[in-house]
Formats: sequence, structure tokens, C-alpha cells
Amino acid sequence: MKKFLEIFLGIMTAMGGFVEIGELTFMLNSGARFGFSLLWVVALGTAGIIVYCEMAGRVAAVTEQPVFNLIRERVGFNVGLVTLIAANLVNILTCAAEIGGVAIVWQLLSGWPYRWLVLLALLFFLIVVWFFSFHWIEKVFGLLGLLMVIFMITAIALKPDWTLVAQNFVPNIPRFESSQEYFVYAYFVVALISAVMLPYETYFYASGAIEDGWNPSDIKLNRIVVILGFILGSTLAVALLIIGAQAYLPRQLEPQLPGAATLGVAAVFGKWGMLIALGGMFFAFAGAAIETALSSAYNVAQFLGWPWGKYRPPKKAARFNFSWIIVFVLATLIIITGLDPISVVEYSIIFSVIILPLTYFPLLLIAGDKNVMGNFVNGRLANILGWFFLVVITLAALAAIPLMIITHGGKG
Amino acid sequence: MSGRATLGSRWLQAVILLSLLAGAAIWISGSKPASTNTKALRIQVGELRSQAAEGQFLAELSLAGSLTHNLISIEASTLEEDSRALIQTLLSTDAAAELAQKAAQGKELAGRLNTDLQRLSGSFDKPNELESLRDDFAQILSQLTSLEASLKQRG
Repeated sequence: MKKFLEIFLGIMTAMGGFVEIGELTFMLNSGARFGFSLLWVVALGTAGIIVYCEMAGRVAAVTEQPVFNLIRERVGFNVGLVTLIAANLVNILTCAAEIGGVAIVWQLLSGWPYRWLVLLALLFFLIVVWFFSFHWIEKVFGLLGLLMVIFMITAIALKPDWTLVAQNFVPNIPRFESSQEYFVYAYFVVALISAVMLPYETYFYASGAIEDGWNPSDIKLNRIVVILGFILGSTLAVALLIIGAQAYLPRQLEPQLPGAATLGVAAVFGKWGMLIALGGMFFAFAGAAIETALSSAYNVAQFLGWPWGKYRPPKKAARFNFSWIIVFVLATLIIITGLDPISVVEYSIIFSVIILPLTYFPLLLIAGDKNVMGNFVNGRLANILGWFFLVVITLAALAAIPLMIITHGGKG
Repeated sequence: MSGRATLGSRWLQAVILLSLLAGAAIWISGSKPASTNTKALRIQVGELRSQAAEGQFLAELSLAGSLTHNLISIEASTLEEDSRALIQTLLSTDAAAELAQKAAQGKELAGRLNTDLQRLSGSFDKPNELESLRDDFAQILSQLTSLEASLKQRG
């Protein structure tokens, strides 16, 4: 019974923690611009994150070493350092966008000034991460992020054509009138892959496995949590895309602000639906802010060989604790300047895809190394899928910056 | 294994650096700061169109009692700030001669949209005002959609 509860909580936590501000923005906008035609990208990205998070969790359980330890071991200090810097810059940008998102949600609820709420959010995060355990943070923000289920119910209530929805899970490219529109479509393909496969999720997942004391006996648990949690999480992403197609596309509205994201829910469930959606967004954004800050601290500490982990008393992992505090402060400084969180998240999503291959390549090599993994080495399927997704994300990384410039950040 | 991993990662880094350089080259060759071209104007009109659509949606939902006072006032104020920024961009750039008429129409519609968004932020619980705004947003939206379509046709 205890094991079942653990699995259930793990799945629900993974599901509740799946969506963050970047995914919310890009999913709604994808539906609002291209209808259901990008659903296949969500399915592709979900399969990719399942493949690599399963590997990261398995490697962590077997070797008891997290991602960045292994990156340094495998690719050497210099190459690893480039990946570390790039990964943490993207994490700080993502964290800044999530803090801005939290402040906007609070502002929509309270009417208080935005900049004060950004500072209040910083204080909130420092208190929560300092005083509460990893387990508590993971479960509370993951489970309360399930308030986002209101978006799933809204998507169903909007009565989409389910046959059309199902058809669009098969890769397709719609016909457009100009080449520019094909570029914008390609930009959204790259952005959605990145939004679903954000690299911090893998760092955080593997570090979390070590925080929770996983060992080889947890490998089955890892597989179940990753597969079911991420599939259920991606149904949330699919629901957002459907809402974009059903509620925003006919109105020619491309939602740019978190408040606009709640309008589709308000149209179906009124004021209470809107308030539940804002609650879900708060827990989803706050959970992601904490994950990105901790993920950055994990990366630095693991790479440099410092003692790390929320399970250690702060004095015994002082540099690790100092690192996540610095990340929160830097992210707050970025967002308090008045930069629009949605613009920040767009950059973070596009730059994330660039570092995906650098993160996943060493992981794929280690998970496929019999000397390290023993009986838990990648099987044929895991290797084929791993290499396939490595090619996909490398192509996406190559196309990301040119597409961002050609399409003016997807605007046209 | 370690050597293979290092070599592979170096290749990946080189390829990504190439992508960044290609991006920089496209950016440098594509930037035309001197005047507003059709594409830039179309993007700005598209943003205004989306703002008008959101204004209309907000007014409709507010009439139905589906929004809170805070949400409508903050969302409308933020949209108003964004539309003001777009007006500034439209005013500060000289449109190419053949685009002058369309740019002037865009500025006029942006001005009307901005005024309506200002009114919207203070119109919670004022059904008559909201009805009038809803209709006005619908009209602006329709005109912006036509303008955007005509700019798309020009390429």
C-alpha cells in the first residue's frame, strides 16, 4: 500500500510539475495560430523527455551520481564548463520568467504593484526553499499544480473535434500561402520541442532521485513515474493547445499575458474557474522557479565537487545553499528591471534547445555503457530512441537561432 | 569512451556555434533600421489586432460577470501600455512612401484602441460602457484584420 501511494504521489507530482510559464505561453499560442496542427510535436517532445528522464533517473539510481558529475567525468572539465555555464544562464532566465509569472498572478489576484510583488516573490522563495525539505517542496508544488487540471476540463468542455485532434498527432505540415509562414511554423515546432524537453527538468529529476535516496531497486518506480507522470503532464499541455485552437483562434487572439490565459477558462466556468486557473498557474510557476534555482545550484555543486543536497544541514552544504540564493537574486534583478516575463521566457525556451544536445549526449553514452550500468544498461529500444532524439534535438538546436531571427521571435 | 564523449561534445559545440553565427549573419543582413517596411508594419498591426481581440473578449466576459475587478483592470492597463509602446514605434519610424497610407491607418486604429483600453480598465460593473466598448473593439478588430490582410498580400 505504501509503495502504491509512493508511485501514485510520484506520478501526480510529475504531472502537476509538467507545465510552466513557457509551456503555457507556447501551447496556447500554438493553438491560437495553427489550430491542432502542432499536436504531433507535443507527442514527440513528450516521448523525448520520457526517454531521457528515464535514463537520467536510472543512471542516478545505479551510479548514485547526478547528471553534471557525469558530464564532467565524460567530456572533461573545459567542454563540461561550457555546458554548465550555458545551462545555468538558461536556468536563470527561466527562473526570472517564472518569478515574473508568479508576481503577475499575485497582481491579478490582489491588484498590488507588480515590482513590489516581484520582491515579495523573492522573499517567499527564499523562505520556502530554506525552511522546507525537498520532499515537501516537491510534493506540495507538484500536487497543488494539479489545479491546472481546470485547463483539461475546459478543453473538453469546449467540445473540440476529437477526430481532428487525433489526426494531428500524426506528423503533418499544413499548407501556407507564403514561405514566411512555413518559417513561423518551424519556429513553433522548435519552441514546443524545447518547452516540453526543458533541460532543467532532467537535471532536477536526477538530482531529486539522489535526494530521495534511490538505488537500483527503484528503477521500476523510476520507469512508471516517468512514463505515466509525463504522459499525464503532456495531456495538460495538449489541453492548453486545444484551448488555444478552440477559444483563441476564432477570435484572432494570440495570448501574451498570463491573465489572457485564464480567459478561455473564464468563458466556460466563470469567475471561479478563472480563480482556480490562477491558483494552478501560481503553483506551476512557483514550482518551476524553485526547480530552476535548485537545478542551477545542483549543477554547479556537482560539477565542482562541492557537498550538495537539501537533505544536508545548510552548514554542511553552504556553497550549494549560497548558489540557489544567488540564482533567485539574479533572476529577480533581471525581472524587476521591467523586462516582460513572456519575452524572457521566449528567449529562455529558444536558448534551452541549444544546450539540449550537450546535456543529453553524455547521458546517452553513460546509460549505454555496460561497465558503468551493469545489468541496467540501455536496451536496444532505449539506445535507438536515445540516438533518434539526439538527432532531433541537434537539428532543432541548429535551426533555433536562425528561425528566431527570421521570424522575429515567431511574430511573422 | 571518455575520448569519444569529449570529441562528440566538441562537435556538438562547433555545430551550435555555427548556428549562432548563421543567426548573427541573418540578423545583420536582414536589419533595415531606416524605414518601416511592409513586414515590420504587418507584425505591428498583427499585435494590435490581437490586443483588440483581447479587449473584446475582456469586455464580453466582464459583461457576463465572469471576471474579477482586479483582472480586468490590470489586464486592460497592461494591454494599454503595450498598445502605447506600439504607437510610439509606429510614430518614431518613417514608413516607406508606398506604405504611408497604410501606416497612417495603423496609427489611427492604434490610437482608438489605446483610448478604448484606457476606458476598459475603469469600466468594471458598468454594463452600458462595457457594451459600447465590446462593439467598438469588434469594429477596430475587423479594420485591423483587413489592414493586416492587405499588408500580407503586399508580401
